[in-house]
Amino acid sequence: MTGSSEKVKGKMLKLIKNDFLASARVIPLFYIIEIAALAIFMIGDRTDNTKMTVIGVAISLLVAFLLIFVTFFFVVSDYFKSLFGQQGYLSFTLPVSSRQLLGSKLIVYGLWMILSFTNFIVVLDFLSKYIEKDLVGEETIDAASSILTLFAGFPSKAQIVIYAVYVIITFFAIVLSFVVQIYFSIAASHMRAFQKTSVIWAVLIFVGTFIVYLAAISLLEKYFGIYLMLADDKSFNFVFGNPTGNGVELSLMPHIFMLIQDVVYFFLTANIMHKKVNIR
Amino acid sequence: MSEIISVKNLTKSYGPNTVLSNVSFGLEDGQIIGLLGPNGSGKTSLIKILTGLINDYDGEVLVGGRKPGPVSKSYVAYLPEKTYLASWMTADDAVNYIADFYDDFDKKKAMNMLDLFQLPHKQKAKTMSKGQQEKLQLILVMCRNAQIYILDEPMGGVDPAARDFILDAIIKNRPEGSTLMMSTHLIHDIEGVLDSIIMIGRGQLLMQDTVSHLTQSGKTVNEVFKEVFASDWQF
Repeated sequence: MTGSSEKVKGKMLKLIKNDFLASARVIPLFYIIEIAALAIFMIGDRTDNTKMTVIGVAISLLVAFLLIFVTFFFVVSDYFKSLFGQQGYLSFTLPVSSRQLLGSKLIVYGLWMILSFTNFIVVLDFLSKYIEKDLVGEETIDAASSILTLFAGFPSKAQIVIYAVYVIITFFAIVLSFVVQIYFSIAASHMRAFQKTSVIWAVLIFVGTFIVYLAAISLLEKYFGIYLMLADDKSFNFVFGNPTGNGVELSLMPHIFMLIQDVVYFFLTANIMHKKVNIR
Repeated sequence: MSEIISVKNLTKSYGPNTVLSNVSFGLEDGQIIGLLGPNGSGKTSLIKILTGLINDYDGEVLVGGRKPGPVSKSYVAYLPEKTYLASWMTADDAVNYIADFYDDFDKKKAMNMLDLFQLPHKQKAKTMSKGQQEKLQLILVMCRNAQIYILDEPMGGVDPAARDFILDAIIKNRPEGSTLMMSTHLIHDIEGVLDSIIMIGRGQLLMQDTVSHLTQSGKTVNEVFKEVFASDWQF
């Protein structure tokens, strides 16, 4: 039995593979429908078939929107069923740790969530570009101007890139943090004290964690603000304390707090799964 | 023979309810052990602790020389009382899933046993009867070349006609030298294969003995069980 420790460490990829297979039965179908709807829209647009265009737009927007909810449903239901339902008898007796079980689900479902939000943005962008190409003359200039006003405060291209990276990281961090908080809430609601009304407790705990998050961010930004300042002279540097009002200032404290919070919730959740949950 | 399972001063409580109280015993390897006791006696809690499903308890528990955890789970094969397969899994999916995680799993043997048990390979677990699901789970457990098998009521949901078949499958597929612990109410059905027994009542260890010693007086294990758990234990 001495060689077993090493074998246990190599199971993470297998967990990810199986979590992906479990989730890949339904979610990809929506992406296929999405692609088909966009194809209908493009054909309709090129053949000047208004009916097809409208149907294509309607379906692709609806599916892109639905995908966010479908993915969210899977994030919750798979975690709930596979760990805290009867399937937990299988999951929790696999030769893996609670951290591995949790980590695998966070990776797989975190990526699905990011993909579903990204898909929504990409579909909107795709459709808007098709609509924009029909604009002529002054309309085109107006559309371009309205986009450019978003970046009016940025003196250099490098700063626009930094801002774009900031927005993308913020977006991914919020989505992942959201999933971590959901998993923590569900695990905590299955502790013995809350188990009988676990669904209600899961919602209450989630709302509680969200309020704590908002309050903490607000206080930390007020008293311990950290900003990345994109100055008018094309330089950028860090500012501690309050914003100076010079150039564009990107608050970093929410990201730092989210990172710390996610790590704390991850270990708390894994510990609850390991020590406090009794599968019924 | 060495001790494959060692339990010392094990106490487990759920809030104010103590389900296992200061339980101590040791089991030698290579044996078939019956874990016997009435409903609510603490058998399932003990099994959950041995298999690493419950980790907050007082006392010392060693399974194969290790505290129950990811490593011990790699050499313990566990059959719970509940059906645990995901609804989307087919029999083949379940076999592949177990093969992914347990290096001691014999996939070829499992595929053959699916045919022997007349279980359709492509049928989803959610459309299987409870009996079919239990058979599939038994295959998943008994096709492992594990060192310890822990089976919680393996014949609980099986009709009397199929019990001998199930018991036969368990005994025949158990690797030589491995340890097998079974909890059951159906003592009469299994007492012929047992080497030793553990009786638990109201969370306490009431008896640990070998079957050969226990039956020297001419009584069967079933009769001894009835004597130990007289009518007052039912209330």
